[in-house]
Amino acid sequence: MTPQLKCILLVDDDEPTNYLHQDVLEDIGISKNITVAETAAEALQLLQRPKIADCKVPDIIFLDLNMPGMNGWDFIDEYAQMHRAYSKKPLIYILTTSTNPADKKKAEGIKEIAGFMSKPLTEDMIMNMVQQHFPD
Amino acid sequence: MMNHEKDSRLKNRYANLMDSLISSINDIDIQKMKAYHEFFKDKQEDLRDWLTKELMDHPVFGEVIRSMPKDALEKQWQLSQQIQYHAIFEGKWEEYILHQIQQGIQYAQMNVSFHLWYDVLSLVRNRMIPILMETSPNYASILPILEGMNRFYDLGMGVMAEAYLGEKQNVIENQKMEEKRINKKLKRTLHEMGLKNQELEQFAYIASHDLKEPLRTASSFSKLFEKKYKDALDEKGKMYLSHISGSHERMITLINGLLEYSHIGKEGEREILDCNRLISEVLEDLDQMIKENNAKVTCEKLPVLEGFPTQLKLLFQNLITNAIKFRKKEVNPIIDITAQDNQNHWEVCVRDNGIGIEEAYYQKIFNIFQRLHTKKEYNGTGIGLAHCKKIVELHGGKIWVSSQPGTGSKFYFSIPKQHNHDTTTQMHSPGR
Repeated sequence: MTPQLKCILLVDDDEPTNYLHQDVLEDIGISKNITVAETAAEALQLLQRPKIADCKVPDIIFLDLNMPGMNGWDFIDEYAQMHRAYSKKPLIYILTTSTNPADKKKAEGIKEIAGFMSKPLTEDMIMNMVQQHFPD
Repeated sequence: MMNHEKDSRLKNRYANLMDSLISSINDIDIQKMKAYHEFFKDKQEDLRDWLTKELMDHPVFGEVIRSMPKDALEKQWQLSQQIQYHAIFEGKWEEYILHQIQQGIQYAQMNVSFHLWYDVLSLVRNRMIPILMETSPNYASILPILEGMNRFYDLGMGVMAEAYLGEKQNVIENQKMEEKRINKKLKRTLHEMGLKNQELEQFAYIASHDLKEPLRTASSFSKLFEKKYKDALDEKGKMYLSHISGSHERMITLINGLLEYSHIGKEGEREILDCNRLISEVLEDLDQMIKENNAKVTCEKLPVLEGFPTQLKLLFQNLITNAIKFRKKEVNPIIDITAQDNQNHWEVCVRDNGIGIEEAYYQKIFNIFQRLHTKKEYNGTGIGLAHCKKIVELHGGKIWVSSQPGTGSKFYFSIPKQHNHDTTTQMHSPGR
């Protein structure tokens, strides 16, 4: 049932969170590769020089907002500039603990963002997302 | 502008003044004033044109004259001539004096210096004398006219000055009443703010305290679980457990930091403090950390200032700890603490040779929970510098950083030499 994606990128500064999300994704078996970045800068670096060829343009990026140094918003700015030339674009999902409605509103105004979700990532959330974006 | 009610109030207010002035005018005065007025009437065209020209250049009156329509100016001139005439020739002094009173009040309300008005009179006098000399070489005939003019203007200006001062007093009293009202309002607002602050602190305290309780229980059980069942778990299970207890510990550290942060300024009194002694105490406390990192901390002679001992110590401790924590891996930390006397405040600088901070983060780092590095790189809560900022602001100062990534950072803070008692009582009283 679940489609086989090539790559999902998790960007979060909290190690246990990444572990948990990776675990959930692996259990569903949705993607061949799951890569993890603990800072926005590291994520950008991974995208520029991917360790796995499939991860040059991931299918989905789960992005935390509140991160040390460069935050989620900064990442989107940089990434949008970096990937202007690419025809294929990853789905960027904001995955945050922020309950601030202003954040949600801001996210809705950014075209690169596919959705705004609350941590932690669950199986239901993933299944809904898959139905919406990968119907076949 | 003035209504009748106000007019009558003024009449009453200055009734005594008028009585004493009018009774002081004798027949000789009247004769001299008449002579002056006759002369003035004859020469008024010449005097008026000259005076208008002179006043045009005046920084205050120039604007007034330019803003007035020509016929209004003409009317005012005529009116003042008429009033003068009625007073001197018909003894209708009341009208004249009331006119002067009104002008005095007007000037006081406009907050225009009384001297300015007096300046205009000097202009008239200055112009009168040469004209008098030209028309009449006879000194004896000039003198009564000059004396009449002086007497007439002294009379008028005397009244005007009294009115000016009286009104000025009135204005001041009104201002004082307004100030009192504002002060009262301010006091009430401050009191309300104090209560709100207290509520907020209590909330932070209770919330943190209540949060700690279930957290401690969860943490205790996970430790117990680990102790009793660890061996029964596979690698993944062990990993889950380690993340559980890791998160618990982190949460406890965060809550404690938050509790401490929300309690700044709630203990102790201001004292005269020798920063040199404070630093040596801090260095003693940090002895182990300094040795482990091979750090070298030097400090110049530091000031003696008034402050809260526990807080200032914590400020230095946080800044020094940060300087050591954010060191470059291959370089031993060197920290230098200096102070500068900037007249009304001390400026202290803590300089290090650490990793430095990019300019984009100069402000951000002082926000609570704002971190620049992952927990793996540099562990921490993101409270330290926010704490420092709160301490410096408690002392009425400012904190800022200047840095070059890769070279080191300079953290500066200022402490005023004289503190504002009001703000400190404000900040302190609600908590006690």
